[in-house]
Amino acid sequence: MKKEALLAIDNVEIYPVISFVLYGLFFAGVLFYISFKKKSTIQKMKDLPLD
Amino acid sequence: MSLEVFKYDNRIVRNFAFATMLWAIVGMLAGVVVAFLMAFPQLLESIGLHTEFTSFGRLRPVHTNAIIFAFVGNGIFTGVYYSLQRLCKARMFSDKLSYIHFWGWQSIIVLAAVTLMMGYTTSKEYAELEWPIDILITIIWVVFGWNMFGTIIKRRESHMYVAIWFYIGTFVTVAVLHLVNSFELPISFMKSYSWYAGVQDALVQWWYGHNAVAFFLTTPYLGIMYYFIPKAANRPVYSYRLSIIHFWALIFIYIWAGPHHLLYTALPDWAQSLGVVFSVMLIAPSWGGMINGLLTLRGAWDKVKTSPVLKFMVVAVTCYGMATFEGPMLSLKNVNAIAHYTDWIVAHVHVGGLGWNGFLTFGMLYWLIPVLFRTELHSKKLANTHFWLGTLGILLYAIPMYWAGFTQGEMWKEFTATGQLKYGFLETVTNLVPFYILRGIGGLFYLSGAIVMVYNLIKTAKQGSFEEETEAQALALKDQEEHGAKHWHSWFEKRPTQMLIGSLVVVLIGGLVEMVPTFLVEENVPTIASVKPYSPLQLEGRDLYIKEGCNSCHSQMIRPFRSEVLRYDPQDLEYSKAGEFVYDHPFLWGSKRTGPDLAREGVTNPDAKWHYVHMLDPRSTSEGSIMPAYPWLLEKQLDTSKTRDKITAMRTLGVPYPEGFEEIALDSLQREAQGIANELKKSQINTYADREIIALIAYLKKLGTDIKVKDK
Ligand code: HEC
Repeated sequence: MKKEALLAIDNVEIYPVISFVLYGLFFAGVLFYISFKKKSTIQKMKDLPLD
Repeated sequence: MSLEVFKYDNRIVRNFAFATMLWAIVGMLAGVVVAFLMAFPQLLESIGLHTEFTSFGRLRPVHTNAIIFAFVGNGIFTGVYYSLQRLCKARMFSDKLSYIHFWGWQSIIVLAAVTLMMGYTTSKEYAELEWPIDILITIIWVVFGWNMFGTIIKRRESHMYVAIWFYIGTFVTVAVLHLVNSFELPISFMKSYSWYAGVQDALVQWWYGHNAVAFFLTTPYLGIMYYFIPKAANRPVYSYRLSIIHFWALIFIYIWAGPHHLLYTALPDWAQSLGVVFSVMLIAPSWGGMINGLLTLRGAWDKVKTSPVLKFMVVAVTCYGMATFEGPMLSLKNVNAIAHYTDWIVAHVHVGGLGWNGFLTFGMLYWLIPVLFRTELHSKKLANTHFWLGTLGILLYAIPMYWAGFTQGEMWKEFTATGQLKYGFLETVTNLVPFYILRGIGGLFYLSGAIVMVYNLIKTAKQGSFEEETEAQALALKDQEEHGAKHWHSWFEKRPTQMLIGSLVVVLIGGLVEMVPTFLVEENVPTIASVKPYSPLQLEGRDLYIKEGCNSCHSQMIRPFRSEVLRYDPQDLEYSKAGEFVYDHPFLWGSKRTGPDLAREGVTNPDAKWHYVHMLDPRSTSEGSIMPAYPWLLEKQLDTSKTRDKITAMRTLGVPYPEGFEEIALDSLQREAQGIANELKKSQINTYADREIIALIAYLKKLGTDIKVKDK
């Protein structure tokens, strides 16, 4: 059935792998981004709703 | 440098807030009605209201659409229109767009309710509305986005608070989801066929369905949480860094998790596994968000005890945590094997719907209405009464449904010592009726709480005086440039367009990686040679099945378990194969088995007379059945004016009807109908061949028969 059909597409198992790599890179990016934010900016952002 | 003076528009906020209250009552009332219909299918008959317009299959989508798009939808817009203006330090971009948005959305809701009750539906869950309404939704959604972006662009606050990120993510993703899933070929005004078929249609639908939960019921409400909890508690969010991770991780992961709705189906295994893994990962950002929300209240718990607003919000965030813990659990294959198709899933969504969306909306409204009307809440006592009615309602709803789901899931799988199924399907249903009654009572509690709230808030509005516009002042953006704009990491917070594109890219990657392979398969789906397109009569019967919403109670997907093949295909023990659905525009796998699976109904139960009698009065053939009666199908003449167009449309979609078949389609239809009428006559049932019931029987008799031909 369908699974055999999928195996017929070259290297179908690459799709899940791509997704994890993408996610890993992306997540690292976000972590990097927030860890380099200045405390003062963070504080300013935090207080926005209360202004 | 000079301070600019401007005014926030409160009228649009008030309008959406009152619309939220109105649709809350309507949507919940519809919910209570369908809940009791499951316990007492003849409830409406007893008061003379059992018509085709009010039968379960048509009312259920009225309830789900009213809650999601009318109640929560208006709740979203209330929160966005209030908080966006304040966070941007700017009035909404255009009052005219606000006005069009408001009335456009309310008209869509009314059209939706009317057309669903009339039986116009695509059958795709939470996307039931037919194509003209889909177009209207697109237009109004663009109006909303335009107004929102206009406001963000003319803002006077250079940083965009995280709530706005959630709003932008919501706008973009909902647009993509709606467009992709609504791909359909119109046949006439108010009737269309899904562009996709079978497995692909299922994948697209649950990619949509899952992300409708994510991006309509979750992300905008998280934006609301991140604004209104700090506001109501008068303290900033616990961790702003965490909220950023929450945002990006959530929108990235959510979009992949759709296939967890299709575990053990004919969907390819790798897609199922991908869905499982990403679903399990979802727990991290979700719980990060919950903890962030709750810890915002640290040191303010004394306030929570006395403030109904905060009480509602705490329960809401807690329910968010519970639902997002349970979701990943339900995605584990062994849990899913028991829970899927049962009331367990219904319990799960209601912890989210009643707890998270409902309670957060109530909290927001209790905070907002007194502010807009410059007064105190009319009665704190009534608000507390609402809180307890609501909480009790959730418990009375959820506990019996978990119990019912778990019990039924187990009963379906139980064998006797000799290896036979222990319970007939109907036994597993009648066993649930007491649970359904309790659930209905829970719904009544919750609904009465909401009515108390509406009363309380109308009283509050009456005693106060409405502030149409709130004056505010701020520096123009260009006069603030020197503050920190040069840091590269402010790139996103300051640029809404980049934010929009960023979210779009993140969401598209997920969607594409998930769907492309499945679509590549199109050419490769091994068409099972014996699977034939529907005959014209069967096709009309199938459209009646869609019209009546039979798929809200019946699945057509036998999963590869011994308990299922034994129950639904005792002769050959075959589970459902992808190749069986290649002509199914739309797919009708269903998501709930209130009634038995019908994938092989034509094999196991081909008796026309049985179906005729059963549809007229299900309880005459199946004692204690909770299926509604469909007497009108026996009377109404089948509308064959579109049969020809339907055949042509199906051919356009790739169904291999021979050239010129549409010309003889009506002859074929009448011949087949006459055959069934003759068969009925032999069993002493006299009916005309041109009735709707004949087409429906033709469809039921066809179900699952093709695959058998091959085996012989
Ligand atoms: C409220 C849920 C509900 C709806 C809506 C519903 N059914 Fe049912 N159906 C049931 C239940 C429960 C049973 C099992 C008891 C029985 O046989 O009536 C059942 C049984 C059946 C059976 C018999 C299956 C078998 O072989 O035992 C058929 C056929 C059927 N339904 C067709 C339909 C069709 C066609 C529609 C739409 C016009 C429909 N049902 C709508 C709940 C529902």
